Amino acid sequence: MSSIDEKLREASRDVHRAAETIVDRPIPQRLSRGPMIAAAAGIAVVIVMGVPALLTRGPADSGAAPSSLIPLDAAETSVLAATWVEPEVSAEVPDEVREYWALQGTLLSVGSEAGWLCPPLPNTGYSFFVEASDLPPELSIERPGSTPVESSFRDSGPVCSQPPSLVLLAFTDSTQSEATAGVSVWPSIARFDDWCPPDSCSVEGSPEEGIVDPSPLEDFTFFSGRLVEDETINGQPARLSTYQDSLQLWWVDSNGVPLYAKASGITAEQMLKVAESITIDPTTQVVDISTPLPADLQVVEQTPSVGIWQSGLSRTDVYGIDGASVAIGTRFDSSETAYSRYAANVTFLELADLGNAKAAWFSEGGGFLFFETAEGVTVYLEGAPTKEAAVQIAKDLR
Amino acid sequence: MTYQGTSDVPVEDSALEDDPVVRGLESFESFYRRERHGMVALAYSLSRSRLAAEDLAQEALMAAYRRWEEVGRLEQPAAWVRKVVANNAWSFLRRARAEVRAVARAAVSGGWRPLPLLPDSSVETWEEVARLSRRQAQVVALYYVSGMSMPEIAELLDCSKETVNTHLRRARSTLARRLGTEER
Repeated sequence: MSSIDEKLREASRDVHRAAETIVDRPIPQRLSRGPMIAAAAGIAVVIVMGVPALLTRGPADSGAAPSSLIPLDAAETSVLAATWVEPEVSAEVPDEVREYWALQGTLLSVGSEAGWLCPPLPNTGYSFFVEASDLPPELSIERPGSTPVESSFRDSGPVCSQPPSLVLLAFTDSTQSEATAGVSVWPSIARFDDWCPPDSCSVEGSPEEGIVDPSPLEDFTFFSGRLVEDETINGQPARLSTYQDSLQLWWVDSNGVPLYAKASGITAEQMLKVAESITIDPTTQVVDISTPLPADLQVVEQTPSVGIWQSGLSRTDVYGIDGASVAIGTRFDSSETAYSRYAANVTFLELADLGNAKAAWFSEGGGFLFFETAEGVTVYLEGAPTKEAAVQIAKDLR
Repeated sequence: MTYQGTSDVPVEDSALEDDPVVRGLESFESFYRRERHGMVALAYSLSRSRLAAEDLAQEALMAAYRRWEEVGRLEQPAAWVRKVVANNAWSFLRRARAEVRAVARAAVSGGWRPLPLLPDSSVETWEEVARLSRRQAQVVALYYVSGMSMPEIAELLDCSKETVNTHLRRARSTLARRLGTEER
């Protein structure tokens, strides 16, 4: 039997060999101006069609993040001095947005006794994640009645209604005299079907393998955002929330088409203004953004999109812009890199080549092919060496 | 060190603070061609996702490119990029863990595909590494994949050599148990 050291060395050699097989991406070049202005600004709006009308009031707003001392039992206060703090929020996110609370604490003296930490979430009934970071090797976290976990776990239920309830830091060693640890709690707004009244909305099933589900509802059943508030757009109810450092908006346009948009780098007010101007032809599904957008989104204004998809993964949202022949991929955290990469060498395909697909484009930068079939199924392929090869692969799939 | 908010701020700025500027400026293209695969390997060992590894490596290299006038003159620009990769890989994992359903979907749609040609045994090993605590996983990846010495890792992670040694020892112990192999 090999030792773990040998196993890790072998695995390292393997991973280097495997990495050598990865096709080189274009070496970064200076971003061009023009259509890339939006990319350089790190801003994108992603719209996904097919969201059922779901717009009813959600759960009560969770309010401002608390910042008082954590309610530790008196016996543990000598073990851990900790404060729940509001995290720094990037300038792009409106002030009222708070995604999670972080625990910053200094372990003054670590004992073998478990210390209970009860996150001061203001409302009960929330699901949440707890994750510890930078724990010293001597420490681990536990939850009541279970084995220690190394970094994170998920739990839900009435939070701290009868403490000790859910969250526990177990100090398993007494050797560390001082250390710091971070614990983050992501409160989930609610399960979608918990507060979406029957007959008003539904949750779609899991996507089939290899097919990208354009619906954001799956993500919505659990996400780490916080409801900002219910709004109205053109007289119709809309819901605005946060996701990571992005804003999400669900609404129905003037044609009655339910829409979902996600953006980062703009305020909630800007987001609503953008949404007011967006309509989608229910037949052609062409997006029309008719009114001026915030300055940083001028590119989108000038070039109506022809195809917009969400990959289903939080890291590869994409959309295409006609005319300028630019397609942009983005990530929930709005990486400039992703924009520049996906925006390179994008060409739109003849729809007839793909069985009269509704829209399709290919990026030579990564061999990416996106197309939406006439049946409304969005397909994503990766790794095709040429546009022609991608089209052939797509044909073979059909 | 604790979370600093929701934005997963890369370590680019902090990584620049401590490194002396002693080198001439190599062309970024040359640096990119030499280091990229190693960065992908490092990112994969921490993220266990091929797609994430490519993105993490590319992002870190892009970060270096944007400030190449500074980074390129560092004594070890590759170490700077590794630090960005190592920290952002953890941010990636943290987000992924939070997005339970998205991860479940990724499992069927290919988002967590391993690197091509990576043997199953190595896939398993790196999956277990990704389950380690942040520091343990980083130490393992930097030590084995990037071939850094313990003092180098200590400097990169802003901790003592003893702490690095402790993390490595505990990581090996945990991995040996989980992978059913001998610790030594």
